[in-house]
Amino acid sequence: MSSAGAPVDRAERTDREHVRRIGLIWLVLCVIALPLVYFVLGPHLPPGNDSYQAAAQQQDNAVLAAIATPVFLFIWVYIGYAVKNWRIPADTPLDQIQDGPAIRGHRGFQITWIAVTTVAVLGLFVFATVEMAVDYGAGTGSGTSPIWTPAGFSTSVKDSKLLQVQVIGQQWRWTYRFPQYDGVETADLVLPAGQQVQFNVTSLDVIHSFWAVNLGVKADANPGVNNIAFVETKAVGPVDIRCAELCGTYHGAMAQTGQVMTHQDFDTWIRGQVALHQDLIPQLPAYDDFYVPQTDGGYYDPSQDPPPPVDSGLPPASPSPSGSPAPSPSGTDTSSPSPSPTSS
Amino acid sequence: MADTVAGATAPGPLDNDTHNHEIERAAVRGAYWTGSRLFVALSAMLFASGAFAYFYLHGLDSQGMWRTDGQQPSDYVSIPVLFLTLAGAALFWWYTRLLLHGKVESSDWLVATGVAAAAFLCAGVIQLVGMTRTGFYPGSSGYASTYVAIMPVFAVYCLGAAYWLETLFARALRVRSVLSDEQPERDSLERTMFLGSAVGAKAFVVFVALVSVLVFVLFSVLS
Amino acid sequence: MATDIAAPGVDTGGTPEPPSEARTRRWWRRSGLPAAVVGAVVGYLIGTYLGTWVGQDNQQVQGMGHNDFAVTLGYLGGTVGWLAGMGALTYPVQKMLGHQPAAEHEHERSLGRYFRYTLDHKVVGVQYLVAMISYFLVGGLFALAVRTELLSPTRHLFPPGKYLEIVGEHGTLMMMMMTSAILGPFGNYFVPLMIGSRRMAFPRLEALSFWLTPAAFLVLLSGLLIGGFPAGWTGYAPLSIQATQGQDAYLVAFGLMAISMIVGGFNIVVTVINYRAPGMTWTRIPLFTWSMLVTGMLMSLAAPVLVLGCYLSLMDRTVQTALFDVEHGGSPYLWENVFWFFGHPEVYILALPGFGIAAELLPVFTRKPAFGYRIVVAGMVGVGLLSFFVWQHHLFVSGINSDMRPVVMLTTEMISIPTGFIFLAAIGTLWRARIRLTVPMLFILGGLFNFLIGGISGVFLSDVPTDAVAHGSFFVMSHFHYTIMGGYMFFFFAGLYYWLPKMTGRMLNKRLGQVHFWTLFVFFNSTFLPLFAIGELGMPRRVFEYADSLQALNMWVSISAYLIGVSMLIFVYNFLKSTVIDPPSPLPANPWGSRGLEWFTSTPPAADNFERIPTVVSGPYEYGTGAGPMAVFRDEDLMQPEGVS
Repeated sequence: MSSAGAPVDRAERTDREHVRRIGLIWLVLCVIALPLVYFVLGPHLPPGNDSYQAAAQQQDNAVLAAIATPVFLFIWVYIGYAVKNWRIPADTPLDQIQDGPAIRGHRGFQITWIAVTTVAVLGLFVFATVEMAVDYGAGTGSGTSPIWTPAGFSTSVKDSKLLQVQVIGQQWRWTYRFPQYDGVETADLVLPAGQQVQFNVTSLDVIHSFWAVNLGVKADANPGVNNIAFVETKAVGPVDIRCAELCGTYHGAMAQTGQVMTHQDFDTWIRGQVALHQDLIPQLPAYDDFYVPQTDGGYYDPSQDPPPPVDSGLPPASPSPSGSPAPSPSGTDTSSPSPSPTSS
Repeated sequence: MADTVAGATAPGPLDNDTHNHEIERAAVRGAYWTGSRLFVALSAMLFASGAFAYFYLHGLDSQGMWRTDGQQPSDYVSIPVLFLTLAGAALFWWYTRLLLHGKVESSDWLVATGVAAAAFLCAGVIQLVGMTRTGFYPGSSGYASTYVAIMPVFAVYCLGAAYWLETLFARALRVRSVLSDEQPERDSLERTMFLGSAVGAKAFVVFVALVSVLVFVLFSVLS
Repeated sequence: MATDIAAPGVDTGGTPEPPSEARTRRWWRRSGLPAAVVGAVVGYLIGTYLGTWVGQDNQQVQGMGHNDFAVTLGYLGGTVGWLAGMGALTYPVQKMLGHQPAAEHEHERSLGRYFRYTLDHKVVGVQYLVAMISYFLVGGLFALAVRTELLSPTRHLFPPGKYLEIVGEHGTLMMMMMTSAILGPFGNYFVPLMIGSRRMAFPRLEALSFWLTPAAFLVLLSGLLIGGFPAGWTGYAPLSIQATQGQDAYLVAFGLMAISMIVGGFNIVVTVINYRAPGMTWTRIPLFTWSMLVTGMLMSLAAPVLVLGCYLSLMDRTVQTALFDVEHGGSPYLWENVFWFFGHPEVYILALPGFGIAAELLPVFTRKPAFGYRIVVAGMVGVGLLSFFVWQHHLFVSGINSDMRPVVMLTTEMISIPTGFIFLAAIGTLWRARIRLTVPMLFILGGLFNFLIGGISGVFLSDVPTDAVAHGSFFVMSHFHYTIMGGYMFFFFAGLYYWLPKMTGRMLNKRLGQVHFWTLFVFFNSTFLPLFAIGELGMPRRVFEYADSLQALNMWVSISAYLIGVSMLIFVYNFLKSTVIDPPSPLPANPWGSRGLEWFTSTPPAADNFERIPTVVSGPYEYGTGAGPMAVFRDEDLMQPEGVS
């Protein structure tokens, strides 16, 4: 049952006293926690410091954690305080429960809350955008025409001052092509230290995602798409590589370790690879942004499929599939080098 | 609960059934109005995402395979479908509007509704039959793929419009009183439901006609 | 007169019969579960036969080497047969003959109505409740299988393909079925009661939305029998096009569930807008009903996009269109965009009902008005609207146009502002309150704690540079488990403990409820908190192998997961004991002392809810203002000034 009138809590504290107490507890905890989070935990946050992009991401993680800390503390302190001070036993009989004060809203509090959250959100947005601009996408796959590119970037491989590494994903391994070194394709990722690298990530079949964890690079490998990500390596060390997009049965097995070496070591290695694959390189398809089989004439004609294996139970490829009419592409005969699709 | 005060001077309360009936009649009428508009909106989301697929693939033009030369649905399919849907929608919309204003005989409305239902039915059937005679394989290009994907959905909507109009037609035939303007039928729940459904169908058939124009433009006009 | 015209319709086949005759029909001739099962089998066989007949020698269909057309038609045929057997198609067919719907067996209180195509929204609510708990537990079993596999990076319980099938089943069961976990049981049961209505706007649509869920559930599970699907719950093309027949099960099931969502949400929206009792103005509607309204709008408008997406995938798989095939003019990005355009509103479909329950229960257990009612409403509507503009944050590293990313980053970060309004309301409502830590209140507070972690971790994902670390890793996993399981499911349990006394007259055992809450809360956090770290340290999602250094953490997580299972067992035991095995004595109509209108009906409410539609005179949260009950049920009482009790 309800009754009018302002109820009184135990110690008869005023609103202002409650606010002061909550504020004080929160402030003390923030003063302790914030430096711990930003200065102690921060430099150890993933993804570490092995490239400028990774360092930027680590910095961003630290900033977000530092902003999140007072938010968490405020909610936890407040709820803890409320439950401790304003509680009545859960099994109080209904007719003995007194209602609380009929506070429907508080303009000052609401406006402050909205203002603070808006400012925080906008601030984070600006910070992250600046970081993306300064670090050329901050290690993410930025698509075919990134808007923030390092000096020395060029759309043509010949004019580019960056080390071009094409990352080719397929089910279920990564391979890497170096167009500036005869287009050699290797099974291992090796990079020189202190070098601006441009990853051109693509796929041969389904969507994968190239994730060089400690370099802070993550770019989806899409078939028919060239996804560009920039990274500037720092010191010598290993590179953890994972696939971060479900690509089928052995998605979890597309994990390997690459290496960042000194410039001389890298030179030696890449020349060794070229020499090793000398016979293979001319047989590889010409280096391109992506590799999609071209079909002559353009359209999919099932009657041109290779015949199914003898014991598959499928009918042999018939020239004119039953149930569907023969297509009559008007006017394409001149342009199509493939045999006419209907021959019944 | 409050006790009754002696000496209340207001008129006596309505009995439960009458009280509920009045409120529910208004609710039913509103429900058909809101429901039909919401159904149009959610169907618009369906076709909008289809149109998105069309424009997205058109813009990407992957491998230059958006549309190979000469791919076009047969005019013997696209033009009759467009005409039938527009005519059916116009007919039903106009005659229902007149009926609601009391300006037309119920027999005229019945004929118009029947013809409109038949028009939508023919449009749906022609479209579905036309799917088997496109002249291009479904996977031959992005255009072909979106055509083969979107048109059956549109055909189903034409059949849905035919179904809705047919139910109105059958209802009006079986229970003539839903069309009558005299009491007590005028305030009956049956009539409210019938008219509510008719008003809703008006919005829906106009929507289907608009979609018909959209797909015509996408597949037969744009290059 | 008015009663039988307005009454719900038929559940017998053919022409309408007077109730007494219909009831005496032999059980095998009536619609219902037996007929539905027979219908499903027959429909499946017909569909498969048709598909095989069309596709057998048709190269256009056999392109992939297997006949997906037959599988898909089989599933669709089975679903149509199932619905026909339940009696869902009788009314649509009768309408074509112009018939008037006949009255349902009125006031039949047997247990059998829970297995029928019923038109009483309260029965549908109970059906949903039992079904959703069952789906949740089955999905949870799959989760335990996943965690068992992840105990060791080198010793494998399942072959990699089978493991992916299990991951996919778990994810899809949860994301698919649980969308209606609050709207289905509590929305359908309580929205009409809360707004003072005697019925739902479209009772047949509501029943349809329920009976589609077992069909979707069984279709999805049956996918395991035909090879499962390797593409997870997100079903990315081209992997989904490459996959074998189990993928069709995923596509059909998800499509069916999307239709269920559309229909269920549609019904709730129309009901809330039109069936409010006199005096139930927009500012007096309970906040739970507001959340149901916004959720219903999202379901109605976002799920059609999913239907199209699943349909496009099926087209690619059955008749070899090239929508997702970059070789022939299609693009995998098309699937990503279409799916996530639905997918993002979907997760707010999961978040909003939880907010609604939190906002609804807090005033009851603090004895104070809802703080900032209008702000909470604005927050819910804002979240709903904005949710359509943020989907591309799932595509940050996918190679989309890089100038889109700052824009989407802004919208995504901005959506955290209205999301925060629920915390604003909670804080304000708790101020100087009379807090009763009942079991529902424990779940609310626990849910708020968890959702805070989930929401803040979302900010890490909305920020592109930090998303570069977290995308596709266990960090994302932990984020959405915190918001959906830690938030939504905790609020679900709060609602269950709170409303069960109105649905059945029994309260769940308090001691067991407290044990359930504390074990779930502790073990939930101990399971998912380390996963943030595991993800940041380089473990991708959906993998069966991982770095050795992460084994200790993974073992900890797996053991905690088993303990979550134990907590759920405690809940199941409590639920069964308190409802069927050894129920306590029945309670009064309003055991929590709530002002809500739904508590002023009998327990359980009468068949038509209210004998007479009430007139609402005040809001549901007028604690401490001295206002009288929310509504008056007799016109005489309207003459009284407010406040006389």
